[in-house]
Amino acid sequence: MMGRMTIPIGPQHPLLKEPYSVSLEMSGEQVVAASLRVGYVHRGIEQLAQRRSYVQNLYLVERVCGICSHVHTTTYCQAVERLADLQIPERAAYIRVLLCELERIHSHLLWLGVLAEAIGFTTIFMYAWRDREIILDIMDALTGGRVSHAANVIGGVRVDVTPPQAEWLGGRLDELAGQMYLFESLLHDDRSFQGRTQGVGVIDAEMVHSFGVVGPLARASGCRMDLRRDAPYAAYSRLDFQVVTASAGDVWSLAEVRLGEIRQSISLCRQVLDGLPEGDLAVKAPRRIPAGEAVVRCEAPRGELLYYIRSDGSERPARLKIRTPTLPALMVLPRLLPGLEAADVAPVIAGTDLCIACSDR
Amino acid sequence: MIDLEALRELLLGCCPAAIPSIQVGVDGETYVDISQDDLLGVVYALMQTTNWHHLSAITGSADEEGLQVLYHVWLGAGLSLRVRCGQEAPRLPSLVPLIPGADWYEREAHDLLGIEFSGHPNLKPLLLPDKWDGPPPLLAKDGA
Amino acid sequence: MAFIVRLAQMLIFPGALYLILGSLFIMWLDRLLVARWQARVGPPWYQPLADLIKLLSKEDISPTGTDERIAALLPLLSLAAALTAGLYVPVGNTVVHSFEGDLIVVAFLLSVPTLAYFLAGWVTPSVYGVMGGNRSLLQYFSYEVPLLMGLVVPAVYSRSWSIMGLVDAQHGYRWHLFVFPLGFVIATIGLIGKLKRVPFDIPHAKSEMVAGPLTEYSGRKLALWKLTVAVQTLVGINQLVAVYLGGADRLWGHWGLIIYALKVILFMGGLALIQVLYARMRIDQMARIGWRALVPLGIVQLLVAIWL
Repeated sequence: MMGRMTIPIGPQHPLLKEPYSVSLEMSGEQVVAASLRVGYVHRGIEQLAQRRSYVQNLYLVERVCGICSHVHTTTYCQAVERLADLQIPERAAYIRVLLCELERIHSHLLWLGVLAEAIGFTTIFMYAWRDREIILDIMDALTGGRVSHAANVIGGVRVDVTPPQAEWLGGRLDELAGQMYLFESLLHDDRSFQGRTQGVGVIDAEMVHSFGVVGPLARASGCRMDLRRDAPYAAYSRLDFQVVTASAGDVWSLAEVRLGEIRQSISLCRQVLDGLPEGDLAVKAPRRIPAGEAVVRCEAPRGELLYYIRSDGSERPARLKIRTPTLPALMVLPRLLPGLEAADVAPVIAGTDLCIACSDR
Repeated sequence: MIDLEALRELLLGCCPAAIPSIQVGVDGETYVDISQDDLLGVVYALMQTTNWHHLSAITGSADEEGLQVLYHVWLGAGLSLRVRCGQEAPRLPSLVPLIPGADWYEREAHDLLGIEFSGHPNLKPLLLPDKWDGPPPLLAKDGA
Repeated sequence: MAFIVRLAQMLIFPGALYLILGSLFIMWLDRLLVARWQARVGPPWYQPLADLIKLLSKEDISPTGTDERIAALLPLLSLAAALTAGLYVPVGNTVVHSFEGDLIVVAFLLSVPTLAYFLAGWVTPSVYGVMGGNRSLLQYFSYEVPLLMGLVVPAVYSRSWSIMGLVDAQHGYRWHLFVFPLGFVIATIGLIGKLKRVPFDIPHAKSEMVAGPLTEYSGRKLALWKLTVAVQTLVGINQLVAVYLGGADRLWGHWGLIIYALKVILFMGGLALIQVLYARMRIDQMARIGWRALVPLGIVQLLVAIWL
């Protein structure tokens, strides 16, 4: 009865939000080995990008991922702006930060809901996604889209934040900040949540360095890497925030880091709204981008997002390369799973916050 | 910022044959051109002596002169190592024995550009279907 | 004449028809309360009935490798057992039949669906079915014992092994709840484990086992399984209300039915609240609680009952 069994998780499984396949070899209730397959959603975006103009590619890269669409366009625009030697207006930089941070909040709330659902805590899933609606409403009001914003243009931003909007936004952020106490008490006081997430799926510092794990996963293991601090872009060098870290590296620490980051993001949004400089929204960008190459890194909700663009002087990029932060997490995952109880697989997989659309491109 | 002098010394130590060129790009990234034979040596030296944090990505691309592969590295600041190889039967040494995290990046370069990485433990298709029998997608000409 | 009455009781009230409709109502209540507490709207009153009818009309697919005859038999057996158990549990002041020892018979009959559930996973070729079945068997052992202990404690105290007898023994607010609060808690937790509700919904954990043993069931068979779970819930609650909460408090005569209904609804509300408040437990945590906490406490409570 307790022999070896292979349990397929995916590509269709209630646990997975996107198609990938984890094959678990079990001995009784313990995982003995795990292997991973991706590529189910490979759309050939890098190849498509070579056949489209820089402006068309802006809308293409936005659709790499639904959850972190804005940071993809931000990174892309920054790379093209470096190549074309464009300096975006300060107001645009601040608005880019605003949208990046709002996206970070909504991504982390989404993650919390998915984690809660994975451990059977449907209530928190419902509450987290209800509060995420606050952010989606804000996005909708500012940009016209809940998930896909088309807020950036090469040379700046397309959307503006008027004073009445800023005031309304501030009110809704206060509302969200008021709700955070619930999730923080979940973290610190709820025994059933702690029982399922503490000590589970530990990523140690050595794994972080050898696999290049980035983002909240790395910060939960004590690694203080945050590109907003280490290589500031947009308006981050003018803003004040803390890099949130934890030390245990387990799923509980991931929750601690992400909830801390939500608080920091709310504070960043408020700073942006209070200190929004006057000015234009964008500078004019040329159709043909001068030849050259550029590597740009931004801190997406899941970590370091890298874009490499090589231009040959024409209207189309010669090469567009996207490296998303989920890739190292996917590489680490098959090493986290062996030795776990079957029931721990769900929180570990949900905890690593995988965005397969991002990594498959 | 990367200490360019220290970097130059380190590279001179690793690559006696060809002197690598160091440029800082418009993006603030430091680009270093090295030959494929020096690749493993340089990476090892960087890991030991500098503020090495992690390997971010491996970008393969094709241009008029052949294939070039960029190894994007984060040392507290960005450094990209460029290695060139010919378009016919391209082979490069695999970084996986040094950096386990190079695994999928090399598999992707293999899928999309057909580059063989010698020493890679598992060079199976990552993104493409198992039975892909066409040319590597990024090598196909525009409109193909 | 008495035969006709008895038949009507068995088929209509408090027998089969009441059990089926009542369990659909209880299911609706459960879903509504959980939804409201999760900041959602919840289904309309006819939802469980609509779901049942729709599921009955769906195609019944079985993967190759399933033992068709057993797979078809198990849900029927389970439903029959659950309905039969309902015959001995009083609804209001009526019970179809009562005899000394029916407490144990009901406990046994309610276990048949659990064992059938485990077998249901094993006759399908699905990995999820087999693993879910393993888990449900482990959970059954961990929770049946505390539940039985919880039920036996009032029986020992009131020296009656018939559920109706226990209800009589509690007349006039001398509910067993007040004498044995610990026993009530143990029995309730045991019931949650038996009904596989959160935090003990491990065998059919959606994020791990897809649907556990019932993964490969569809159409009519699945409809019968769902109905069995609902009837088991209703009968289980009835049983605990009768044994610990005084049932209909014979004192109240006709009003007894309303009082009894209120108790059932409140109990269901309590179960729904527990569902909303907790995450799913891991199976080893569950087994640890069952054997290291509940069983020793149950033994203590039993000794108290013997001594009293």
